[in-house]
Amino acid sequence: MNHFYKVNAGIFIFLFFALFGLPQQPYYFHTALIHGILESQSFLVFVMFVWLLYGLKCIVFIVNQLNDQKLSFLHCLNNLNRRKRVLCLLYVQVLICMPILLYAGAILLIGIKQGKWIYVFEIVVFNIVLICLSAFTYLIVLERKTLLPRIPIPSIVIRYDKPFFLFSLLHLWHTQKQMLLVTKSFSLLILWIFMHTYEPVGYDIRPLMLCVLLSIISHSAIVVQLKIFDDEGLSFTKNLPISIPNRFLALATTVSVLLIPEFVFVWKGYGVHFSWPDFPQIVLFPISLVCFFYTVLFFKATTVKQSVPVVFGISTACFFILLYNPGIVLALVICILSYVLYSSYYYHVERKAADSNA
Amino acid sequence: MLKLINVKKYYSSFLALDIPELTIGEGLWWLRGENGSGKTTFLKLVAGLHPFNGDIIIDDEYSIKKQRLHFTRRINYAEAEPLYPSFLTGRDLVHLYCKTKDGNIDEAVENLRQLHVLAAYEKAVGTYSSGMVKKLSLVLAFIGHSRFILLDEPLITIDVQALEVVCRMIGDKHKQGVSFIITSHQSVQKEQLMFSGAMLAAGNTITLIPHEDSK
Repeated sequence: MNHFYKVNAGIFIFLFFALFGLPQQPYYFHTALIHGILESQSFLVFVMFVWLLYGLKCIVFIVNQLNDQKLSFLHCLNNLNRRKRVLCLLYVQVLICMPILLYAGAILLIGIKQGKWIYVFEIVVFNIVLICLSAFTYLIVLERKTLLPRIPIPSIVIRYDKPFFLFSLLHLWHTQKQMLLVTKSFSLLILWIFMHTYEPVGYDIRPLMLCVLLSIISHSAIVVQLKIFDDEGLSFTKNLPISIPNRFLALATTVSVLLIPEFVFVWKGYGVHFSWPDFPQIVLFPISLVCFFYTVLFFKATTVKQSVPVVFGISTACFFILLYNPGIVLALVICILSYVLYSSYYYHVERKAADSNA
Repeated sequence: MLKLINVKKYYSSFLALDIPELTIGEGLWWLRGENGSGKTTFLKLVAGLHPFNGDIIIDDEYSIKKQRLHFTRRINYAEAEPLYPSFLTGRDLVHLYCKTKDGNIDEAVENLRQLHVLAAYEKAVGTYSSGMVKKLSLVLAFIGHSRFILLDEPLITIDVQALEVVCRMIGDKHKQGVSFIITSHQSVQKEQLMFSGAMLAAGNTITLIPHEDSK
């Protein structure tokens, strides 16, 4: 369970910030939200859908843990009798689902106070079923049984030479789908809200740049994952004769491809929020900033938790500099700084985890 | 020739390896030592995987610190327990190594065929058994025009037939002028690999063992 919360610390911090930090009066915001849930069945269904997504995330994580060869010792749980095994897995699921159970508890308290018994019943049944089904799934995996006979799904295998920069993106795609989904949804939502709600009085690039900054901050957890993958999954490439400029170029290309959806969204604001001369800085600034987030992770900030104050500090500095409308200079400075740090530290820093393993 | 000058490797404040000076000439070297004596650390330093203090120079010309590209072109390395991204295929890795090390894809494919892993060439490494990953890593270490090939426990995990093929591959490459540093706890290598010398990892350092003592 600890590992689950550690791995997802970035998402939890982000959600906590979004749910309790952004509203000016969190208590009233959440009371109003809960009242809304208890007033509308469709709203409740939506909330249950979100809980279901969280439940699926838990299932995927625990199943992966149980199937991980490094954690094969967990199968000694099979030595317990079935009742104890089930209780153990239920306990795991309850702890992992604690965030939604706590929120569900708050909804139940208000629901009982208001006498919304149908809603209370639905929430209780939903959570019990979710927890029991999850625990049952873990039990099946633990006992090495299969729920359904495997049906071969036809797939098209496209053979192509994967360029080096694509490795990190493929890693994200294969192992961090949920993080990608959450990050991209949030990032694009920010841009979408900005594009549809903000009507500039005169031409000013700064609001858009600040919005882009916010969008980039939401990518910080992904940047940490990219760094961890480079340190652990691609450590063998340090023996390959790839020059530092090429490695940095690969990083910048990875980031550029990662940010394509944001660029497409920003493009919608052409003519209204920006004009041609400002386009280079709109593209270069996010790429440089993400690269910079990456390079500062060389300074021992090797986890999502450790990276939060670093990202916050850099973002705050960028925020104030952007207010002075520095143009493309800021993007260029960040880009050069990123390259200097990257070339200085790439071969000279190793992850702490690697130290302990060696 | 490989020359190590004032090489020091710290893990936090712990001095894991301290080699004031060491010159390793051409040949087939057996790196011996107990578990935890620093054999793998030594190989990883030479391969450029870990940072360290000091310098390593190959062919009296290329420093790992100053001419890294030239250096890594001349040093290949296969880990004892290789780890590759599970979504990459054998083909992806062979192509990456051939592209960067200027190697021959057909030669690598032939080596894979001899080690009976060619059938999995297009499959993701995540579907490989540990023996297959080990064989793949050995094939990758033979790609290019290296001067030294570092093999960390090349004879573990693989089957008996593959063991013979690997020993033959090492012998053939050695005849072409490539030097090897091999760590192995197995006794089989004495019969199948004609080591020209040995090194001992002990007391946080690496020393050459006189030829008579190495037998």
